[in-house]
Amino acid sequence: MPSLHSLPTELVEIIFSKLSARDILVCSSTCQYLRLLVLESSLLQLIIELAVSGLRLRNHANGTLWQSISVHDRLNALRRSETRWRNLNPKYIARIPLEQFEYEVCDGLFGHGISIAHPWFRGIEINRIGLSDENQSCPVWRRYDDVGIFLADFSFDLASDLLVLAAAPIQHRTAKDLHLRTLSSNVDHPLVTYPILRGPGSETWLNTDIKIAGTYLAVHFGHPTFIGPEQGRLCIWEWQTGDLLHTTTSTSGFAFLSPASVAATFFIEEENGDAVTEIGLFRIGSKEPIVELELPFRAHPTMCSVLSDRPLVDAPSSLSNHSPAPFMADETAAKVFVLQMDNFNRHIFVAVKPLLELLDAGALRSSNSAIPHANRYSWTEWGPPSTFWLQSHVIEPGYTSVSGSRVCAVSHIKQLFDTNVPSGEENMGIVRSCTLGTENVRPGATTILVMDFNMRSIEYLNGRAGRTDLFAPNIRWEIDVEGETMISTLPFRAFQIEQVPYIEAIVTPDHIIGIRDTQDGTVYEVLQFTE
Amino acid sequence: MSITIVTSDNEQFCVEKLVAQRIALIEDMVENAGDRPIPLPNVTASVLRKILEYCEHHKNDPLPPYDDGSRSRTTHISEWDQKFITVDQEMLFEIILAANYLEMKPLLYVRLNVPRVQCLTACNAVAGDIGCKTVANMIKGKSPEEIRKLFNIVNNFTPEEEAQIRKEAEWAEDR
Repeated sequence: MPSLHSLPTELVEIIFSKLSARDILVCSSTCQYLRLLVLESSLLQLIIELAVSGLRLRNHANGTLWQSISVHDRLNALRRSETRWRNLNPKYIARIPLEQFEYEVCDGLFGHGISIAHPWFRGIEINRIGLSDENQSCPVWRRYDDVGIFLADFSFDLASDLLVLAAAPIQHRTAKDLHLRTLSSNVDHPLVTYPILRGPGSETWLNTDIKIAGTYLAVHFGHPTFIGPEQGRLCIWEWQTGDLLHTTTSTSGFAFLSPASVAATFFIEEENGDAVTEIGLFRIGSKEPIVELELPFRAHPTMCSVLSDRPLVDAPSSLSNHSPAPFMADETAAKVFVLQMDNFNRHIFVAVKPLLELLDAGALRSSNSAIPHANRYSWTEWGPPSTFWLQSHVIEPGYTSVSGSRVCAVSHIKQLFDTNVPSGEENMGIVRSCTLGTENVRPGATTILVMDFNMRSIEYLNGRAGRTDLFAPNIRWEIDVEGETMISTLPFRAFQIEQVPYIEAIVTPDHIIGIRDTQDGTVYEVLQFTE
Repeated sequence: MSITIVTSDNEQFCVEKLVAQRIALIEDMVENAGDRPIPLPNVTASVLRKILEYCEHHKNDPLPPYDDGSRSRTTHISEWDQKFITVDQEMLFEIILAANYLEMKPLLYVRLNVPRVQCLTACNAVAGDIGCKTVANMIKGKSPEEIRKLFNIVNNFTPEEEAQIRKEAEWAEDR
């Protein structure tokens, strides 16, 4: 009787390639034949190693990028890169002079503001951050000395050749104008119906957060000092047609969970006049949040920002002489975003996957129910399995960066994690206990922390040498919920980079970009962790 | 317009050309065979009947686009296909083997100058791929012991290897 063993190995490989890394490893532990088959298949090894790195094979359109790189080469590049990340051993370092604290990183490009006209700027320089053997530098790819308007912010997307410029609210303090240009030549984008999109509402704003996900352009117009129901507008457009698909006020920040769903923090005024902050999850196009998540404090922060990287919806289109790392377009399975709440001294790291599951379940229930807003979760219901907190005195507020499952932060202190946080009102009744070795953490100069929320170990694979983390804290939460103790363990590992006097650090799939003062002035320092 | 196919157990099938063209191997052989019947020495009548049932149902579908394999990681199977592939395990593997023999390899190796693994995974949307998805779905979430039982696999590891595998299993939990 034919069975799995009677199929040609390439067919077994096809079957296994449809499985998760976990299932592949289970199959490989049934008998010698399947074990060898899994070990010898580059494709299956790639799937396993991607999972170990928190990545997965992407569903993407017919890209040109992947076909030029064999599975074997991708696997090797991934292994080399993971080793470098684990040891925080950069291969190259390059420096870019800093003119303005305004930057944007994506698709292997690093854009930063130039031509300062404080507090706004008028110029943009875009560097390629794929360093090469011959030339350890980040060559300028495009430089627009004057884009013709004063800018508050900008963002770009290489795959769509889109550059979004947010005009500074100088003459009209409420105007919300976004100029859609081509990234490659700074002309009106040929695919758009309206080269200038104007956000609705008459509220004033000072800072923006622009995120592009495929055909969607989401922009948050915020104000650092006024917070309330009339401030904080989130607008989501289909950027090609100019259709405004979503607009709400009272938002303080947002993150894309997937290309079509968003998490946003809202201020809600209660009947007694108090304001609270909650997280709303919605699909683009749904007017109201499908799921509402309570935070564990009944007050609202004076400043709440949401830090995240965008979901990958497509591989970068070809850019001459530009070859991103072979795996950088892979979607991250263990994605997180960070809520930064200034006056509460809290950084809350939120895992995206459990939120997406809540959103899917909520959407299903809403379609079967006539009652809107039926999907509210208290903090104890959703928080413990999805979040991790750090006190802001551990990491410097405002200087945290997210890339997939990795979070990069700047710290000045020796004791990185409180091992003895007293319970009580101030700590929301949460006791965090953890075991970690802090002896490697040297006091003194600034420390760059890279926290990876995808804690896995693959020491056994292919007999490779075991990896040693600088420290792998075993974070365990004990949460008191109405007398019952809930225990939650978070996947988490942390590295400490060589002590460098960075003011700020940005993490990308392949690089850490630090901002530091040198004898020659302030620079962006680009450290590469891939081949 | 129809052509004649002879299976390994000597049964003759008269097949509409449009349907037969869904099968790459036969499409290639038709050109050389002229009016003679086409022999398929590796396929039995019962299996060919299933394959033809699939081709008949899908004869007007567009040909699957080339992709690099990552898209076919989804294991969704349409309702009709689901019904079609609800067969015993023996027939399931026979269909996979036959579809592999008939359909994919010769065509894709020659026509697309791409690496081998990518060729093979391009068997999206054909009977063999639905078969592969079905086998993958059978495996999902099971323990090693359950998989051994499912496919009649004999555990032939040494005690030392067993110990090593137990270590790996710790990682694989919850994945």
